[in-house]
Amino acid sequence: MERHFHEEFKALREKLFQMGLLVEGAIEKAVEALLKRSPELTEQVFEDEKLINQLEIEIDEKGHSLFALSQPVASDLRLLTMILKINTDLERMGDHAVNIAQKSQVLIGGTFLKPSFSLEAMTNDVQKMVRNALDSFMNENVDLARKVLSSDDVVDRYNDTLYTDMTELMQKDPSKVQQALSLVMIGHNLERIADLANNIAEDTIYLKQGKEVRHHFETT
Amino acid sequence: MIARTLAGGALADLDRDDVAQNPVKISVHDLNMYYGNVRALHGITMDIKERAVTALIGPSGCGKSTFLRTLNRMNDTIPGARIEGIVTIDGVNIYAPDVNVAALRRMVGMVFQKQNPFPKSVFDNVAYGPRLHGITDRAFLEHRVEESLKKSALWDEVKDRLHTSAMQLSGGQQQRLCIARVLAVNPEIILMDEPASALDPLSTAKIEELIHQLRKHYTIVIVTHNMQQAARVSDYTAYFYMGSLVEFGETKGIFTNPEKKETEDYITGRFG
Repeated sequence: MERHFHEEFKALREKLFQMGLLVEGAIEKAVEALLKRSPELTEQVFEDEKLINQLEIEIDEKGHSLFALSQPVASDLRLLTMILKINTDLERMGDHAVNIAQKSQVLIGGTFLKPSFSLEAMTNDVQKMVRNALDSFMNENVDLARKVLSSDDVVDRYNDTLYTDMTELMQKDPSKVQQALSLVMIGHNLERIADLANNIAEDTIYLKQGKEVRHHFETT
Repeated sequence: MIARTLAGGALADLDRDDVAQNPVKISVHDLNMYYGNVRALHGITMDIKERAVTALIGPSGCGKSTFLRTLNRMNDTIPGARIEGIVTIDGVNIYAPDVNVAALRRMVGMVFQKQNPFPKSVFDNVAYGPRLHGITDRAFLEHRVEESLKKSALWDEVKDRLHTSAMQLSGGQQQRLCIARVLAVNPEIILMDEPASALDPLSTAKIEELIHQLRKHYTIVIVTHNMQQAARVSDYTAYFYMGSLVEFGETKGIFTNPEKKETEDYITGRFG
């Protein structure tokens, strides 16, 4: 039997998805601001973050009310717990997008340092992870969630390469230290976003199967 | 699959069922109730919203059932019972001398803890109230019975046995039948005194969902010992203790961040 609060769970999950879409957009704009040298796009990221923060509070409050008023158990309990965890993860992603936008502001005026790979490709991969993580959660698609987990290594390699490239560059030309460090920070923030997408994918697997896959620990 | 777009109004407020804007249906001002020399209610003042569920909670003997029964003058039948103060429904003082108590109780129906169907058929149970009010037209009665049973979410389970004894129904079905019997006389307010406390969990869930549906059309005041039930079904909650109203407010606020320590202690099980 469907209980009336199941409708509210559904509405909250949809709200979380809307927040995810805003986060996805903010990440894209933050990197695009650098690639297109657009200060306007960085400003849009800062505006998006305000909305993301507002949604975080709203989802938190509603989630707590639902805990108190509907006393969820079993899959309802897992869903509500996951919604609140993912809410925090998405808000953190928004913060990372702001960090990227701030570093992009530093880099926009100067000569653009190029790593040995396409920063755009790294961003695309991260965005895809975020998107797939959110879709896996919304559709309770465990296969897609596992795909997200397997993508993380690619992003880690991009980040390691960026770190190596920029270290070499700074050693060769110390005048580029500020720019190189900003780029390293952008890579670091993208890598952190990918980690948070991983969290969402892990939570989805737990939600659907009750299986713990965090920290490479998988229950049978 | 989900649509990956921000639909129009997508960031709308999550609280879609807001009843805060509903007008006041029942207004109680400085209500005192006595059983002989014993004062059972102490200066209760509260406004009950229309088309919302208001739950009355509190330990045994706190006065919540006594209060409920003041809202349709059920206490009138108790020798030595008397009240001071004002109770108005739609602005009319229900304790005014010229009030027709039978008409009041038609408008303010009541459902009790123990389901109490009459030893008659399902149909005759629901038709009882309208017949008592002089309705004899068969087609009208059939329509009213069907409508009431549908509203009480019982129709599908009894439509093929309307003329069998109501005593053959399960406890949960009998309680929904009692609700249908109340609905059949077109009340505006429904008082429920622990309507699910004698039922199993599934029947309780059905009653709770029914209350949630009925609140769209009726003002409901429910007494419950089950705090989780109050949290699940009500829009407003009133906490009574020793005949006094300790705290009254939106259920969401009462159960997440009550203003009074006494309320917090009661709902968290630290007291009572």
